[in-house]
Amino acid sequence: MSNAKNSGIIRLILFGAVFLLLLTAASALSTPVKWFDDNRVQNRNARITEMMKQEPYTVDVLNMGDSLSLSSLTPMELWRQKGYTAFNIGADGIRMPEIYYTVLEAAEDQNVRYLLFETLPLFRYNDKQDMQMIISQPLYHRFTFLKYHSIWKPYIEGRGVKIYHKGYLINREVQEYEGDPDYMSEELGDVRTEIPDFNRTWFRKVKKFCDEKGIKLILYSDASPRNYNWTRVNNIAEFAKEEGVEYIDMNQHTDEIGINWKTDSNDRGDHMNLDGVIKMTTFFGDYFSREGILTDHRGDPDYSSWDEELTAYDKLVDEMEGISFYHVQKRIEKERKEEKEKAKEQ
Amino acid sequence: MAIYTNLYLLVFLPVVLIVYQLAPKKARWGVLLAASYALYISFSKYLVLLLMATSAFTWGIGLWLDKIGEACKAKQAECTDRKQKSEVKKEFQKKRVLALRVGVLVLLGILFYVNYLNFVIDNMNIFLGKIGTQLPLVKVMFPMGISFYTLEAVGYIADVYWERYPAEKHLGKLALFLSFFPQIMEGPIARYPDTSDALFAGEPLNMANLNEGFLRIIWGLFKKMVVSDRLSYLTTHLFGNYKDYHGSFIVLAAIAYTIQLYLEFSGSIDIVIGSGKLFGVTLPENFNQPFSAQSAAEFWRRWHMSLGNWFKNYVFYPITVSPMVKNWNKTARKKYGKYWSMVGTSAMALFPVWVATGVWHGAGWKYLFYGMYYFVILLFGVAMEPIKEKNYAKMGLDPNARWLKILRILKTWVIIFTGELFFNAVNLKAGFHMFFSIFGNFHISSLWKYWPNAITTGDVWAICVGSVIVWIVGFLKESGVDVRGKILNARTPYKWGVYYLIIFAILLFGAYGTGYQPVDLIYAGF
Repeated sequence: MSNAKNSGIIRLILFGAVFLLLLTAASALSTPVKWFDDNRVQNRNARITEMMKQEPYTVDVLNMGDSLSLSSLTPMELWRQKGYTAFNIGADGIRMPEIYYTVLEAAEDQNVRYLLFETLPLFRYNDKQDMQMIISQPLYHRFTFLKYHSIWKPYIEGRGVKIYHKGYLINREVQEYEGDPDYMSEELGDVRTEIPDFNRTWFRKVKKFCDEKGIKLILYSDASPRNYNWTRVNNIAEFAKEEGVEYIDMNQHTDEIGINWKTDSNDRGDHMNLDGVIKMTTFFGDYFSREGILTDHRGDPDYSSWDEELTAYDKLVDEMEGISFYHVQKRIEKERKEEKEKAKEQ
Repeated sequence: MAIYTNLYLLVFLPVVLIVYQLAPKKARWGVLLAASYALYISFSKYLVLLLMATSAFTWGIGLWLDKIGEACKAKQAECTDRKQKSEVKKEFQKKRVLALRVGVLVLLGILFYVNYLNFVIDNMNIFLGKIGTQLPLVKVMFPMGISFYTLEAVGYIADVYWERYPAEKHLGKLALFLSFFPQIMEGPIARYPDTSDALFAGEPLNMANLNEGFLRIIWGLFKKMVVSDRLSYLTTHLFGNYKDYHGSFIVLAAIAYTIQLYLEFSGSIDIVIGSGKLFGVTLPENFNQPFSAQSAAEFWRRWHMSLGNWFKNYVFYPITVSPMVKNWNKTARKKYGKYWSMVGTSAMALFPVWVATGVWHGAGWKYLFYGMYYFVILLFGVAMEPIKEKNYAKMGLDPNARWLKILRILKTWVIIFTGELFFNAVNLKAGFHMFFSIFGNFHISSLWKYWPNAITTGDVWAICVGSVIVWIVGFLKESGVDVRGKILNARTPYKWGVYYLIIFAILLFGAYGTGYQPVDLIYAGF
């Protein structure tokens, strides 16, 4: 090999090494915990950031999935009823590679006993987006600078508003589901009903991680006429059997849970509002009680912050009768704008 | 796997570079061809067969033309006098025209079938519906880049017909020219001699090319990810909900879309040209500071230059020298004078060019209108040119005065923004609705009163700062400062410093990551 060639290769390696060094340094400076106090993290990453701020070894249950999972469990209600600590770590429209790395990050410093996995993301697949994620997600996981790169925005736009309570976003809007109560026999339209191989592979990675950490993985389908029917549910049941994972289909337990489709949905049968979520949470709480693995932490001084958060949560719930948090957020933003304008005038 | 994705930039491109370098020199063109087909399959799956068939067909037509030419020469050699030779030439010319027609018609026929047939059926059905009948639409899969490689193939056949260069004997070489992976999605539309030698040479990678290519790629990413992608959230919202907004927002939408389109298209062309450069292949430029243009005609000489050149070479010039136009010129000069003959000739040559330019962008009335819009403006420019010169002289104005230049640039901007408003409107009706709302319903204050949630203040900052940086670099280039050359020739620490600065600007201010919807390339859909 000629000297010129050697020198070229050395330069390329050196350039790459310096880049990695700079990226590592930037990542060390942009760790989410460092920034979260000021609500500097953007909404999508806010849940996982808050999760990583929890005291080590205090979270019993992680609830993962897309928006359906986020409207299936309210951790503060679980705390009130049973004293179990849970956290919603999902995100809207989440895809399997993101799920895997989010679980990895959330469970890192915790002694999690259950991972509740809402099943809708198992059907979500787009080769264009998901193939990109195979590369981007491990990079985001390794280099937090990439994941939290929009951290500069709140410095221009102002601080965010704390909207999550252990990952749950209060929504008390009521929009009745007017469809067939026996919706499981209905067709869902042009949606995927088979679980793609890509998602099966990534699910197995999640399961492997859970097995290694001693976490019980439970697949569940949220009660949702807009998203589930027998075809989908049967395919998940078969998949769960193949994988040796427990599967709970809430759609088959709506009477037992007490779902009232006139009052419990905020968007005509797609997602649950707070009333529906409380009922679902009670169902999960009873399930955990029956299993007898989790401890009731109420009264434990190490968990006193949960009581404080419950008080704040209850106050907000009272304020939000009939509305969703988006209304509150808009109101807060409007108030801030008015304050700013007043200050300018003065 | 689009050229701006991490899969392309972090996996595909490095792997192809390594395999290319490790392969023996003679096999390197094969590596590029295999990579090109692999990338194509990632978009269009089995439609790669159509690309292969197009390559084989184009190659066959080229050989046929060559064969006719050789046969003609052989027969002419047997001739004893000029008259005989001329007759032989005439006889073979007919065959050559036949070969050309077959080649062009088949290639354009496929393009018509894929892109325009359903548009024609849709419009026919409007009339057929009145007599109670309907034609069924045809199910068509869209082969990525068909509008680009078809024009290259037609250009190749025409050039061989005009004997600008001999037909390529090597099928693989022609196939690589038509499918070269960086340019298959968005061009630039190259002519065969532009790239064929470099593609086939198999020269080893070298640091100069790697540096140049790398700088070009990261600059393109900066334009797309920092500015264009953020703007797309705003323009998608405004164009999609145009009825909800006052004229001031429509003006904003037109300006924002023009900037978005320019930075996205020129940015992706930077990535394309940069990718080619890594392998030592110099692709033709597609942009040359189009917003410095002082007229619509100049704008089109600086914007999507490879498409403009293609139409100039294969539509405009052939029509200008066609017997029909020559006859008109002759007759009109006598009958109406030099001026009207010139205007008429320009109209005859410009009209097909702008019909074609319009519909090349897509099957829809708005695209046809877009073409006609520029046809009218350019023809008006041609017609006004002598009058303008006279007026300058009469008024004692220096046409090169700075303030006049600025005025002309601003006038050109208005023309461009208006054109892009129609170009990106949902349809032609929506385009007119948006256009007229500017005049009837313009409230500048609504800009800050009703700013949409589609983008935030942070996004606006990133867009403004990013645009200013791109504008400064463009301004320096227009003023004769070779910024890229200066960076590439700088000492390594400075050069690397600039690289890292651009990369970290993209990583920090770019619109990417979970929660950001990836923005598809606009021209990849044509």
